[in-house]
Amino acid sequence: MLNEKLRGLLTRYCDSLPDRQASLTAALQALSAALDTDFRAGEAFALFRRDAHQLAGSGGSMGFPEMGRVALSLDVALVALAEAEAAPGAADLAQLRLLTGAVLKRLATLKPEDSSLLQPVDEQAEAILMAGDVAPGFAPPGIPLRQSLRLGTEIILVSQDDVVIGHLQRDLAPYGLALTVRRDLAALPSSLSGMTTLVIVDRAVCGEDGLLPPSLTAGLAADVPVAVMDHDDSLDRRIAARAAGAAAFVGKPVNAAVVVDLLDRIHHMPDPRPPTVVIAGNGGMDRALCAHALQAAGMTCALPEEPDDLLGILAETRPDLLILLRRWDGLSAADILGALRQHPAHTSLPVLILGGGDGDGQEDSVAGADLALSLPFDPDALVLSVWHRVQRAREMQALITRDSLCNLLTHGAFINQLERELSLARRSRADLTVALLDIDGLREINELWGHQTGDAVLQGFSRLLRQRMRKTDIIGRLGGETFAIILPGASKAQARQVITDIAGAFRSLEQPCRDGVFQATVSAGIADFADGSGTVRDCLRAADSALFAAKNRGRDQVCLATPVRVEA
Amino acid sequence: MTAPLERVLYVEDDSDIQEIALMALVDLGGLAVKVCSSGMEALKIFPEFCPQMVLLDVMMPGMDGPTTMASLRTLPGGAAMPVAFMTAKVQSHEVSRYRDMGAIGVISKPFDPMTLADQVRALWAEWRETQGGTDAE
Repeated sequence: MLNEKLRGLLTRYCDSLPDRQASLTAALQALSAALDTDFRAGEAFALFRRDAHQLAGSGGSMGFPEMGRVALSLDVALVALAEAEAAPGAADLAQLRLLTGAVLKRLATLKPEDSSLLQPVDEQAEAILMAGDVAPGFAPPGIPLRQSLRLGTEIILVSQDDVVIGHLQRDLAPYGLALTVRRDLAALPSSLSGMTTLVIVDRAVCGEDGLLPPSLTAGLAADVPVAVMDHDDSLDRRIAARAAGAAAFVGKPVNAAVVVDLLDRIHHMPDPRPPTVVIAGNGGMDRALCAHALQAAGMTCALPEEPDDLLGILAETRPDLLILLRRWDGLSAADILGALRQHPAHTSLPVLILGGGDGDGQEDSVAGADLALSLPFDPDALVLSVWHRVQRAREMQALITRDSLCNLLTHGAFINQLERELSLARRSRADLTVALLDIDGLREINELWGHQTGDAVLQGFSRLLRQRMRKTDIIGRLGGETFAIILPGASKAQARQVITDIAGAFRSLEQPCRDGVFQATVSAGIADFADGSGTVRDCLRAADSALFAAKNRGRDQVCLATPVRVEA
Repeated sequence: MTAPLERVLYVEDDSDIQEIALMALVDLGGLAVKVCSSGMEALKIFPEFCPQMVLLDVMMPGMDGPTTMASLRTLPGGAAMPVAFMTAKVQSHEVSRYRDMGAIGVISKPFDPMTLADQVRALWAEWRETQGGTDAE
């Protein structure tokens, strides 16, 4: 009964759409004809605003959220245009035409039975988009959410290559990883356990010319990534693997180091915070539409009123990206950007230029900009460009603060983190433990077998640290063969246990060299700071003297610092 | 005793939204609703309908939501009448702006017809809470 009524209502609504389309089209034509006057005073503009506002309001509630969304963009643009000081021009009309086109396109395909109100209840909840509601880990429309992957200790290898199987079986164990081997794909789905963290499929099990199955992940839990291993590392093969659902591709030969590296990479989650964007330029339709589009996609926007406010706002909000509109109080985007690039804090800030260099149909590109979007602009294209640029910039940032050899924090980044953790511990009156670790006799290893062998030892040890430490622990490479770890909330005894275990695992690793294999060891010093007392310097000095003691007593051992007491 | 919410005056200029809202409030929500298409009409009907709560669209041609509310306040029984706004693009600072004007809350558009009546009742209940001491008349 209610459903019938609803269906009737939706049918009437959809029957009215041709009239609405005609009305929007007529409004646009009237505005084009009145371009030499300020068309905002005319009847056509008022009707245009009413139509857009009504569609924006009714679209979502009628169960057509996509139509409501694009109509809302048009509504926002018209409101901003009505409030703008300057009379609208040809560029504004072109923007309105683009936005109206998007609405017309959606209107043309609406059918009552497609309304989300007539769909099962759980689909409805997703379809009705409430403005301002942003789920955690939000991604703009069209971008799949990245799922967090399962952390476990088991790797399933589907392969018949006994050399690879043998290597991995022996060498993964010191990293705390267990290998389960299956000889063909059919056995895979039933082999998964709650501890499975990665599946590696040897392309050779499909036969030398055999094709990968259409979906490698069929029948597997969604949070277990699949990697394809192939002796032919070509673009073709990589594309085919990805198309079959592989999260990664590894070329043969594969050893434990490659697998552990792969796990690190796959499990590295990008920064989940929504991007913060500063939009700089004259107020008006472009700026309003830009801010609306980004905010509706879950991003945070700051809009400085005047050029004088820009540096202050950049320092305060530390945005992920800056959007420069082509003109701002008589300044060109090129001049503003040129000056910003000379500022040490903003040399690498991603910048998008909206509407070209010096305006008036000049070329879009501006020296020092990362992206340019010409006018009129598609709000959805803007959102995607900003989103992808910010994700890329965050990945680059993560690389810069990490040491390239070991993928651990650099000296400077580690010290920054230590300062932060100390003040956090002080505030929450929590324990904080710092460990310094130093690989024994690395200089001799380098001299005997060359730097490549020494580097492999450093990398192996780094991987061990990343695998064995808790997610909340902070690991850095202070330089040379010295590593440092912050263990927030851990007591000295707990830290000693963890570090002793790691030293044991490291000792049991077989380090390959040209003469065969050898063993390497590590010495460690641990210092704790109840309630985060002391400075960064105190912390490192105390841990360093404990490390010195460990070296003095014959290396390959863990020493605790004598308690540090800061005078009250 | 707290009387449950039964009578709502709803002011909205768009006939499509009126229809879907009526279905949500009356058919699904079981409320008695009087619809007006403009602020003027609402001010005329208010004294005879005696609503327990008023729902106001913000953007209406002629008399907008806030203006309608201000006029309503001058009518007999209007001074303490709980009023909620309905509007698109709700952000937290806008919600607090409307609350500062004296609205008891804001319902965002587009609304979900399946839960609209619940949202209205929740705003009403929340308002009753704050009125706790003045029940005994």
